[in-house]
Amino acid sequence: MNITTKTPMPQQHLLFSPDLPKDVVLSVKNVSKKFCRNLKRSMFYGIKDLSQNLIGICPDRTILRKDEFWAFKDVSFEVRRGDALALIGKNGSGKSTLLRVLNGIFPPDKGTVQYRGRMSALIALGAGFHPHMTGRENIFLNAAILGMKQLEIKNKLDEIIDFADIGDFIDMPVANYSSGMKVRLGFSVAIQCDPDILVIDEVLSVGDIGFKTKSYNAITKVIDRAAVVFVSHSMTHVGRLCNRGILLDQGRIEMMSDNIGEVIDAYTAMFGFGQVEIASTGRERLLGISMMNFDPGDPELVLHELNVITPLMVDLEFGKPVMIILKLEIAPSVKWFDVTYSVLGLEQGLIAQSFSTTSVAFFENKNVPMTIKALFNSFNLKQGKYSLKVQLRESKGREHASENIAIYKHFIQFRVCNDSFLGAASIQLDANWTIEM
Amino acid sequence: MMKKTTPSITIYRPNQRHELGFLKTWLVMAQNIINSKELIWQLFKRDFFAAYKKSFFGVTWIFISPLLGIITWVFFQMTGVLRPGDVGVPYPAYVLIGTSMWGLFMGFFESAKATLSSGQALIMQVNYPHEALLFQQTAQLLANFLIAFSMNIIILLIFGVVPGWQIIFLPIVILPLFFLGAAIGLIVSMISIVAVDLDRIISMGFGLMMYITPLIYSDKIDSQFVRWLIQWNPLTYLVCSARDIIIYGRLYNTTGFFICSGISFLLFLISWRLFYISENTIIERMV
Repeated sequence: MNITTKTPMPQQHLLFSPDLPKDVVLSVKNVSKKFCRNLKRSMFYGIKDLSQNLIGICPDRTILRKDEFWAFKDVSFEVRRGDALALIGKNGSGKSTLLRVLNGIFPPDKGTVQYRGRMSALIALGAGFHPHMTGRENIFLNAAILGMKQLEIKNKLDEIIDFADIGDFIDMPVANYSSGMKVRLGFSVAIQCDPDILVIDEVLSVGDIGFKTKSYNAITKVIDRAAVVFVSHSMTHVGRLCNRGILLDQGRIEMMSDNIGEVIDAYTAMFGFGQVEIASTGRERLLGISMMNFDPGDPELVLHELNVITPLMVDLEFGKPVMIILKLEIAPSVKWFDVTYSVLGLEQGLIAQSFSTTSVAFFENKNVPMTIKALFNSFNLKQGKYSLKVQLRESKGREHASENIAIYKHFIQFRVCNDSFLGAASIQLDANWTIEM
Repeated sequence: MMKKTTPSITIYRPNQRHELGFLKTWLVMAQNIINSKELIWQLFKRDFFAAYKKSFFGVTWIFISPLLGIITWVFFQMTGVLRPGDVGVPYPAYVLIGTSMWGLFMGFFESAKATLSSGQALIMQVNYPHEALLFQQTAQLLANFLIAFSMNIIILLIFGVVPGWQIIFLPIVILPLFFLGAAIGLIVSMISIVAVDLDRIISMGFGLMMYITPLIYSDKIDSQFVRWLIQWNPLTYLVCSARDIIIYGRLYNTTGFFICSGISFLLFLISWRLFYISENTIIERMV
């Protein structure tokens, strides 16, 4: 068998590899990549490697020299046709470098990357666009850069232009395009190249909602016949597209799972809401607050001592009723007041709200410590971390806008636990399901 | 849609390119270039035509610089400052062809030097054979050269110098200039990513080399020292042969030309190999 070595074009190579099972399209084995912290030293190593190459010495890349560090180390995974694998992690966890190694832009320092068929990388859309050339001319240029044959592009030209949907702009210089239009055109070209593996690095953040939806649908279609590796910080998109996930932390695989929800949870668990924020007019005194799963058989309600420095951490069980209790005193100058609870998510911001005014008109200030209870019969947030915002307002009658008394943000932080993964949506609507014949 | 045959497998490993035999490197890279002819053409179109899209005079700019050059040399000769010695043909024609050949050599060098830097933005985003850019840059240079050169030939004819049939060998005589220019350029292309110093030294060096190449004067000069310098300058044989084949219909110095051509070709092979095994480890230091 004739084994050819990798050159940067996807045309050569073997048809069969002993260590690449038939259904695997991408295999990454113990791959590591190192970088140098110090620019001057990095340049020096560059010259050193170059001179060694000149005299025929093959440098040992597996050891760390001074100031070098592993951008990621011993990463292994396999991707099969039909898989959509999410690579998630904090900034600087090595995701983009890993994508560049997968794509052959950087050679690995250790380990092996193997893939079957054609890889298309959406790392930067519209690579090589020339501002003075028209969109149409740039399609050919961009496609050639992505390694497509001219005949292939000619056949797909109408499809590409249709998909980009930028109207007359197609025959105008790209310099006139908005950033969203450039991304539209770039994406349209890249998605048409019929890849076996599609690598996507958070490139769709610019397009409008319509185009984003279209793009995700197009990517979903690609998943049917290819494998997708997806890098994004948007857990909504990750949850929507991917069925598997890898969580990278400081260049190592922290978690790998076939349950994408688990990986998303582990990722969000790396972040917190931060400190309690209080904005108060000084007309109220919070005596106690509590949030818990409500069990009608157990009337013992524990009111938590107030500690304004550290947020209150609460665990809730999915699907059970929830009770929020507030004990407070309000200055006599306030006659009527109302309360609003807002649920905040880490990524999504405001998720759900509940106004006391929708159930009772206004609360009357009794000028003594009062206990306000809110019972949520269905509190169906999916598993994850949330924060509660409490807003007290003074009501001045129907005709007047209410005035803030105080806002307590991140005062209660709660985690919803659930054994079975439900879906990507934050709110899981409760319903009585029936079937009739 | 075309039905796919069994897709081939691509592998990336550390130091993979070292495993390839010396001569095989050459074949693989040549193969890459043939496979990326469409890419080369698209990039060529982009840079060649786009360069003149915002210009009123467009491609006529290419004619303007040799015209200005000839005016300068005619003027210098009229003032009598230059006593170049007897060169057998009108002096401005001699200088014009000589300097245009020097320009071609420098162009080969500059084109090769830009192989990595001109595609810097692309390199970090897309995986494509970088050697394609060497040919795109060179093709661009040759296109510009051909336009200017046809102008030069007209000027030559105006001065009454008619090139002999030997001019058909010109492409072959130019080839060693490409090998030498590209050999040095490819190495500088890589080194200038990690150290810009070498680029400056070599560019300055070439500036000086031009004066010890008998292009704006005849090699029949009195100074023993200058004659010695000219003799040991390999570019004398390569550049002057390209000039002489046009205006005199012969090589400058047959033995010298073939020795220098051989060395140039060898250097090119070595540089090509070095580029192949090193460029991808160098570009990760591209910042």
